[in-house]
Amino acid sequence: MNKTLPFIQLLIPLLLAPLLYGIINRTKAIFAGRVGSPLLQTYYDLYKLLHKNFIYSDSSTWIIRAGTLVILAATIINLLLLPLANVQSAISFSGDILLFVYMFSLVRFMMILSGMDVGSSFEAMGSAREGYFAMLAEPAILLALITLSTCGDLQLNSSLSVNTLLSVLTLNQYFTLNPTLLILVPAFFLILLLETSRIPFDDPNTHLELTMIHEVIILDHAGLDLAFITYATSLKLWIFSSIIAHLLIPIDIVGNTLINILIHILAIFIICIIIGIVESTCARLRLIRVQNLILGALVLTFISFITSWI
Amino acid sequence: MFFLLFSLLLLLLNALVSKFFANRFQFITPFTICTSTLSFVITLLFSLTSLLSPDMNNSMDKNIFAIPWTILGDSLNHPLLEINNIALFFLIPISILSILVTIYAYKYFLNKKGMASFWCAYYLLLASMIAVVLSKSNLFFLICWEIMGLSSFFLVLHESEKQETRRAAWIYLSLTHFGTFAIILFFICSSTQKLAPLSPTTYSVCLFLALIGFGSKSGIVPVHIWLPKAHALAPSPVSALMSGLMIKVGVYGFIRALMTMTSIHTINLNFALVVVTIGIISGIGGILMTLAQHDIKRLLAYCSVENIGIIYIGIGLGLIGLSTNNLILATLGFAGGLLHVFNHALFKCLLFLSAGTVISVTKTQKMDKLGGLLKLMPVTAFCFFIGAISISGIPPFNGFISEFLIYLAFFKTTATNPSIIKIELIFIVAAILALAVIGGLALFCFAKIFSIVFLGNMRSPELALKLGHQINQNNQSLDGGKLIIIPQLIICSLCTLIGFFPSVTLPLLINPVKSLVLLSSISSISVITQIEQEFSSLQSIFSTISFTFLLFGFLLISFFLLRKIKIKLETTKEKSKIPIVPTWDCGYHAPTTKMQYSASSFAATLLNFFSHFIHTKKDLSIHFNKYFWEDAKFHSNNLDIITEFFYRSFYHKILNFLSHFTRIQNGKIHFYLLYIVIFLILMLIWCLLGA
Repeated sequence: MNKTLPFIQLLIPLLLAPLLYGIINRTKAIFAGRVGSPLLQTYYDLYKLLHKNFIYSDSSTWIIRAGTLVILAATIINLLLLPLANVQSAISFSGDILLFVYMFSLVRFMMILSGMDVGSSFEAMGSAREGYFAMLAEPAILLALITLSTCGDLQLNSSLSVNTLLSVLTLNQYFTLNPTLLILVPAFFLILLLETSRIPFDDPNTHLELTMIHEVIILDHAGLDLAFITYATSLKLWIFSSIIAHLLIPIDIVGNTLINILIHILAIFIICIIIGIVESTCARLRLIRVQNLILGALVLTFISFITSWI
Repeated sequence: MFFLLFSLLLLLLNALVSKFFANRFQFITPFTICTSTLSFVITLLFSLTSLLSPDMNNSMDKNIFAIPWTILGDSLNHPLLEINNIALFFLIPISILSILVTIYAYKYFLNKKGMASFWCAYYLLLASMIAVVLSKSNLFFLICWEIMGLSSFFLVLHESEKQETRRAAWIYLSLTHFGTFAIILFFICSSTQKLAPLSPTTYSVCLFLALIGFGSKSGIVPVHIWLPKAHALAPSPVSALMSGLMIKVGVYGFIRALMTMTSIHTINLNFALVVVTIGIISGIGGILMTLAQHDIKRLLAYCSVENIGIIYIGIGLGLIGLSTNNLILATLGFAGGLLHVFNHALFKCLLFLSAGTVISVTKTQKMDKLGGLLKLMPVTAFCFFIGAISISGIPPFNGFISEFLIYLAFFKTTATNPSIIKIELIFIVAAILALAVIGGLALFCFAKIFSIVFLGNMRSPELALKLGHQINQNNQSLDGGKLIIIPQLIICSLCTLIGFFPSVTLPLLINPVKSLVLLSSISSISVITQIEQEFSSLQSIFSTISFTFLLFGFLLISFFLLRKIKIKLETTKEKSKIPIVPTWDCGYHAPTTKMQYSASSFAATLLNFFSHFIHTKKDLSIHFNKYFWEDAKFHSNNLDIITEFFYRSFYHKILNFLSHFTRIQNGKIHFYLLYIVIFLILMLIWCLLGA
């Protein structure tokens, strides 16, 4: 673990997170045989949104205005709890995984309320679905973290922070093929697709409000608020991809921190390409089928939990 | 102790004075409010100072009032009242919230006539809660317990003109006496331990009786059915007191029973597992029923069942720790459970008070008629918002802290006991998964109640007209006066304080946790140092948490300023205000407020998912005018599955069985004469044989 680079674990995600959308969309474009939007499109979008004027619904209150701020701030706090390759996280304490999980609950709570604030059925529909699916996903996330806390170096793990849980994979262990981790990775991938509202859970590109979850909640957001929310969701995508990257790649491969970080970032990009491939080859699930897939993720984490005790 | 006695007597005096004079003289009610506030301030100061004083461990038994009691297992010269650490801990929320709720209640009932009996019962409830917590003698405990039950019964009956209320009060009265019956049996059973050591069967019967008796007061799931009815139909300040404090006294009673039982035996692992299981069932059952409610207060009441479940999970984890000699689990489990008692008292009172304001303004408890109240009553909405976030266990408020402790208890256990499959571990994992499910569902429920009641637009057009009219008349928000707002704001700030600076609770928790962990009577000095170590590590964790939360606050403020600057630039550049436009309506030009999502539609998908556990009764009636629909009405009602399938079928079976005996009493006089003759003959035979 290296502590010589302060805040690099915060700066890199803050700078690179919007790029992930570019990668996903480029992958999808290649699959569809299109040229596709530029890789940096999300940055242009954010820049444009920052220069747009404010506009609010007449039934909205301070909830929608405060919601965006809370969502961004809470996501950044979670970024502070996350390590980057072998650079330790900025804040870590015993049990901070709970803060990590519950900060996302705060994000979700504010998201639901912002959707309900404008008094439209569309947004309310999205809010209700968001709450429903999140309620199913939360046990899966916690169980996955519990499982992580039981494998790997126990002496280290008794501190129970995101920092140590994500560094369970060391180079020596890598080729022992820990079944627990092998099963956890697809479970986490499903959770990632759900939490960042990608196909097959949610369709980020559809124009049908009735089928959307995330996109429909932010229908009445505009300007700076929309920029904040888009940025926060891209950070969330970074956080979940980074968790999977930590579980796939040993944190300290070559000993050089800089190269480790580069490898980690590359892994995150590859995960985004995989997301793009999934999006181009899968159809969006019917809403009543979505719950089965989430329960599938829960079952996967449960199996990996059981394997961790054997 | 003298101070506590003084405040108790003051409260009793208040009760008497209000009963006899409050209807005659105007000034009596404010006067009694002042004196009761004084008595609670005294209680609070006393309990805080004695809980924080270092010598409390050595002189735990500051007994007073030695009166000979010889009934129910009390030896001669047994003290009537006693102070212990746990009682002191319970006195803190009781005294803080009693002050605030009393002030709120004064304003709430200000313009009502004939409140003398109400205030009498009210002060009796407050006094009896303190007395129950302090009582040492079993008989005195029972007397106070009974006063508590009866006075709250009369408070529930306050609006007795409604048939529904009378029914709820009746169910409450019968269940509370069922509980008292179990408690009396418990005292009788456990008192035999002074004569001879208890056999294992008697021991477990005792604990089971205690769980049933005290559990019925605190509302654990099979015996919870009185709670949602009584809490929903009582006046709001009373619901706040009952839901926030009285059910916690039930928890105290359970802890007290544990203390008397463990004075001889150590805690049995199986019993600890039963407590955890009951906690899990109450938590999940409570939150599932919460989900299905469309009535504000009934929703909050079911949520109390859920939180009691969390408290019992915490205590159960602590008991598992005691029985398996795992001190970390014991310390953190008890600390989490106790802190949740305090936290739940805070935010449940807050939510009931805010809901009370809403109900008193709108005169309805049905969520589907409300909406958009945030614009009409901003302060109430803000308080409800803080309460909703806290109760869902979301950072940075206090609900998160107590759930964090319970989670931490688990994580530390799994991390220190690697790869051993034990029976208790399965239960602990189940408890944690249950907590996760409860957390997710609670978030959903409180997002639902807050957004349906306070966000969007008013769903009932008549109500919107009426309230708009009221606002125009008074030219101020509908929050009510200062006496209504300030108590809520104080509770809000306490929730925030505990959330941002959780280490303030540690000095209050350490002594009660010590006396709970020491129940297992292992070598005590090493245990105490271990507990203190655990608390100091908690101290460092909590300080990092408060640092993180402060950073969060800093980020929020800086984003807020950023936004403010942007607004400033924009408005000066364009010389106009921020445009406010109608919500995007998808091209439909005549939207009505009734088209918004309602409470039932918000929860519909989730309820469908849990349809095996929630029994929904749907009622659709359509009136046809020859060929066309004229008027359609839809009504759905979610029934309590336990009331429906357990109590009702049980009740019907008893009724069926008893109906066989109606043949004996058939109303024909010659049969009755025959009975007398038979009886006389039997008596004669008996006399003859006896001689």
